[in-house]
Amino acid sequence: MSGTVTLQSNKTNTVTRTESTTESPVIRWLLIGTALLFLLFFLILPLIIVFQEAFAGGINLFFQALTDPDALAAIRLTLFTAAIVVPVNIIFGICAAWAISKFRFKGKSVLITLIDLPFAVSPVIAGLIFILIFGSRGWLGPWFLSHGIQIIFATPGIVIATLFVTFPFVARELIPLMQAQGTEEEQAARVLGASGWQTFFRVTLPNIKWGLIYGIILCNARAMGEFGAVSVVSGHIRGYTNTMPLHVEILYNEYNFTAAFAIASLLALLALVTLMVKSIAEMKVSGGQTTTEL
Amino acid sequence: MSIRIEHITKTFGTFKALDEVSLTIPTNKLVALLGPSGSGKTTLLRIIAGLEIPDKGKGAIYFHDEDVVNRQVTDRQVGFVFQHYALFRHMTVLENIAFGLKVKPKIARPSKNEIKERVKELLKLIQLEGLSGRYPNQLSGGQRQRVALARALAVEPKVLLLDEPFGALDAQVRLELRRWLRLLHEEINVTSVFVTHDQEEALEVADVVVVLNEGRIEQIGTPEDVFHRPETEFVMNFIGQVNQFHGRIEQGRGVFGKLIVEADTDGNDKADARLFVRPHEIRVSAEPAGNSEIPVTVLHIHEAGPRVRLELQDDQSYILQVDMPHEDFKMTNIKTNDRAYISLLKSRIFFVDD
Repeated sequence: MSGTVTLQSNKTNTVTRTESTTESPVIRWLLIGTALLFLLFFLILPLIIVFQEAFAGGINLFFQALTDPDALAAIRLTLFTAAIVVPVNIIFGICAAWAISKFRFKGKSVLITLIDLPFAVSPVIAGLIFILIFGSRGWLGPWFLSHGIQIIFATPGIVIATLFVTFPFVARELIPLMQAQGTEEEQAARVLGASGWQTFFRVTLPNIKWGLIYGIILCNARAMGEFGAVSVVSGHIRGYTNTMPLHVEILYNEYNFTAAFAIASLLALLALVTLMVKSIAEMKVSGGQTTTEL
Repeated sequence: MSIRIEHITKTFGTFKALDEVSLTIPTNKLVALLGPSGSGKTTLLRIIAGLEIPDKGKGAIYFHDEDVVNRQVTDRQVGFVFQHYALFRHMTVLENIAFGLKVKPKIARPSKNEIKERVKELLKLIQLEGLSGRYPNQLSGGQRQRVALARALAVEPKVLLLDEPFGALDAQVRLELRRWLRLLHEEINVTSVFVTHDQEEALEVADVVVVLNEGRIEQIGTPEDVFHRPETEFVMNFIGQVNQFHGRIEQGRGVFGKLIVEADTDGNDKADARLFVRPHEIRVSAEPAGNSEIPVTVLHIHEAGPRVRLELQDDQSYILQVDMPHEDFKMTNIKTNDRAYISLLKSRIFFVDD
């Protein structure tokens, strides 16, 4: 009985599928055209303009803008922040994804929801939360200040805010991948005598490699590009607490468009690299999955 | 190496997967754990491997007189073949097989050349010499199965454990691999345990069959034992097809409707009882030849197969399955909807416990 039922449902599936793929060419081109037009206006054109504006004053002005001491300080702070945030997120992401996909425990769904929290909260609110906690009149701020550690309007605050905003990225990438892969390969490695570390480095890590790389790239892009949360906790002290996005804003507000776009072009370049790695990673991940199903 | 399992219990939440199971697996035998899904067979296999930890208590597992119940899975020196093979997808066939040797601690690890030799040997054993550079997703199901076996054998395990080794294969490959596993076992001579829900597979491949049901062992015996001398009603029902009649014991005889069967009643007079008859243990004829025969109606005749299968109905509306060789069937001259007469060649009675 159940056999015939599933067969029938399969049939209807294929029928609807063939119907949906036999749309008239006009509608097909209309759909594709709309999508392409949208991409052109909202993604490609702005990107071209960024680079055009950056080089509007010539190549010399472009490099001058980049080598300005304040700009260099901003680049340095951004790189420093990313250098802390990304490794921390890799560790957190792998731990969380491991726990969620390979163990059964109470409160698992709560944990998954919590990981998504930074996506749901506006970055400005995230920044304000940290001011409430670490500000000079916050819960923990006075204690830290009395020990000579300034968090808000200083580098630690920027790192913490960036951490908060970026922590879903690696975990989100890994959870579905690791859930799909299950634990059998790890068990097989254990039975064959591999230690916990050997199992992780020889079996788990190679299996999640591309997902992890993609997660790292996304996390890095966001860590370098975050504006809202960082803006709230930074205090905008030139040469000290300005990250690249904040520096772009300041230059722009000072009508120094060429310099603003020069810095912005660096961030845009990062976006391009991200997209490239993303497409490679997706190819590898989906390629691996479809062939394993064969 | 022999394996002795004593009083092993395993519960998952409130579900008792294994209930005080004790079992001895003799050295170098090929043993089948046979049972329906949920009978605890896979749990038992995983407990032997150390992938599952039995409930605390008096349970013990001896590998040749040494209690290994507290030993980690990595130290048990077992070979385990997973149901879906669990090959390392990012490694070639060669790397998969060599894995167990490469992860050994430095002192115990063979040299690179020795590993190469060993892998070569195993590739020859599984007849996949030409495919050592392939990745698992480039292999067929049967080939993956053999690679999984070679990978498990590479570390020279003392016990080989296989979880539904043929479960994920199609019928043709299945038959072939069954025969191959039997031959392989004779060649490598390692104590082996495999889990299956397919009675035919268990009866054909194993030296010893352990029938499990609801976390308990129903019977341990040779394939001939469990097939011809089932000890419990469950085994009778689970192994092979069987016709069942409900009735009771009266004056030293089993009375099942019109069927009267001489029985060793053990003083169980008036007790409810069930009668089991295998389809090939019923004789059918078109004419009554004695007074112990029962009239039936022929409902269906299935002639497409190695034996003819008949579906019969007696006057109490019991449906009976009978099978017989084609030659015997031709002699009877029976057609659908005919009246016919049956007599039992052999039957078994089980008392119904209250």
